[in-house]
Amino acid sequence: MSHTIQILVGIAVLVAAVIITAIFWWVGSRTQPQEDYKSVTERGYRLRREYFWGLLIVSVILFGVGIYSFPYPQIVETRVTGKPFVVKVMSSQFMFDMSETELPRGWVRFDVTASDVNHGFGIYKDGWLIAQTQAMPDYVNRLYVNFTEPGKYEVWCLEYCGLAHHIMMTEFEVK
Amino acid sequence: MTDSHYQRRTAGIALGIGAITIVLYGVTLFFGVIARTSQGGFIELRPDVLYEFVTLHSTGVAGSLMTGVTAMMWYALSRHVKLSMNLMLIMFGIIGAAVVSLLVCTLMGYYGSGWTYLYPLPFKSAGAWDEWAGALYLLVIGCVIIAMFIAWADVIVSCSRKYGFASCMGWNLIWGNENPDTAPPPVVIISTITSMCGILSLFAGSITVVQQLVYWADPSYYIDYLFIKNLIYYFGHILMNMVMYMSAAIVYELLPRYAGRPWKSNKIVAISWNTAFIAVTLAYLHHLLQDFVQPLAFQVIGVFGSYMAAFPATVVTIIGALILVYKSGMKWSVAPLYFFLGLMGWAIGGFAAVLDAGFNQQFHNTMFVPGHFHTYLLAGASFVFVGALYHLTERFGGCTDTFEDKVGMWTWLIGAYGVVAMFVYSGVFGTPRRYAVQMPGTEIYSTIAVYFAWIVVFGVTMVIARYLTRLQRVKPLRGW
Repeated sequence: MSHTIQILVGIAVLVAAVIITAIFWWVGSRTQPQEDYKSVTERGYRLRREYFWGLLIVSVILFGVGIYSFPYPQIVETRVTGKPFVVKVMSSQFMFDMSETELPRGWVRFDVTASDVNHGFGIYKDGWLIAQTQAMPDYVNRLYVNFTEPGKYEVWCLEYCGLAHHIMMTEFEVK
Repeated sequence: MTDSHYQRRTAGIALGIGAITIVLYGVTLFFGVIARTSQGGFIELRPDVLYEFVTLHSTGVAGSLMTGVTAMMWYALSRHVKLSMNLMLIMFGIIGAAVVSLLVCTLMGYYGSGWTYLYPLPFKSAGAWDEWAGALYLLVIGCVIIAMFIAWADVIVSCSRKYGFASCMGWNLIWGNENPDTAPPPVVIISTITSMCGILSLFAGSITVVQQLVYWADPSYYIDYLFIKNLIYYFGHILMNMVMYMSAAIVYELLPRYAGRPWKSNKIVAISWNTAFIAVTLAYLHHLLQDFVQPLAFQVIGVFGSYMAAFPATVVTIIGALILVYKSGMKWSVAPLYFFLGLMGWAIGGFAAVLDAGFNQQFHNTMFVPGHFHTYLLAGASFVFVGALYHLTERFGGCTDTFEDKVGMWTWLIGAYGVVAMFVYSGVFGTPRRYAVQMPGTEIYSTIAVYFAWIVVFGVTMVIARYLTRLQRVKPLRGW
């Protein structure tokens, strides 16, 4: 699912960039011959109204999809079946200390916190970022992940935490 | 149109500040390119040096662009209101102190948190830099806060003195208490709303600076991590968005001069910019979408505000600009082209920014983030800034565009889009941002980005050289 979102967003940005550039090119190359501003404005405002409603519909759909895919415990817990496997994660400069490194398939809850500064807890599988949360001192973020695929997973720090930020990583295995 | 003595003096100061800030912009941009060149594997910087460069780059470019755009906004306002030139110079002097402090804390104190830092990193670097360097960096932020407070407060007071606060905020237009023909021009309304929005964020920023300095003096002083994270992002998010909003104010004032058509205030413009105020304020919450302990309502509001911000920007400002130039009979020169391309960068970068908020779990703190903010800064606000500089040299120096002016603009444009495309697509494939050494398998994007980054360096260098050459022909600077 997360790969799908990433690929769709990647395509959407490219398509939008091409469309926006084309619109600017089209308008920018049509400054001549001069026309009455009033008639241009009337046509422009008509298009603007249509654009407004189109943008509203697209925004409502994307907003709805985004909210449905929210990773927050209050939302995800309604979908979790059975008792999740719990892993406690302490993040420190520049290492992750995980209470378990061999996890079962199914729902896993990561209780993520930090001992010094803010860190990020990003789970990767085959180079794809599949889930993440922040690791912050004094607070515990609960991240639910439904593991359906066995194998090795990597965890990388996703919040800049100092000079060795880029080597702050660990691994776990889903059996 | 003739210019008053006051306008010429304002233009002179704007041109001078513009010259210093564009050079500073170029130098600090260069530090970022060197860091990117290291990420791309062409050279090997030690992580401490790389993060110092990233800090110099991000803080330097943000500060110089903000100062430069503010100076251009002053000029854009000068036809309508009288701002204090002394305050302009004081503001600029404070920014100068910030630049010196930034150089000291990074190059002598080895400070390397980057512009976007979170408490308590300035004081907990695992031995990478001394605490005094962290405290000095906070003073840099403090200087930016004071400088921008002076600038924005002056805008609010000066505009309100002439038109009244409610008119400057567009409220009289919204409630039908004002005739659009006698209402303040858009540049006044947008500048006032931007200044109000910005000043509120400065209060938040000053709380973070003071709290952290107290912590530095007394480590037993407790700061709630989530609370200060909210304040830091509220401050930083608004501050950078205001750079783009101030750029929009400039375009509203200067683009019509080339199009030969009026871009007047009306109810829609007033509603749109008040909506932008609310939207950009709410949208700061999207920076905390991966902090699951935030109240759920805040998360929903953060995403809602991000989508909402797209409406005033595109429906009114960007489409308004397109309507303004379409069949206007205008001939393109470099200055209006920069304005036009700047709006295009805002549209493209803004679109990616909204998707980042909507699907944040997949993109938070990946290269996608610098991808979208570089689009509306490097190919957005920066273009408006340079466009205003070109406009000033055209207007007060009679300068015409040369082949080199065009080469500078197009190479900057091509390089910028290459750089941001590599950021965006490495983010799509999960590359984290701010890695001194790229994750295995993701180096290729940085390698390609380096070629484009050096094209940007070529373009920016050419633009700076041309601007300084054009500047010598400007009349307000002579016999002044």
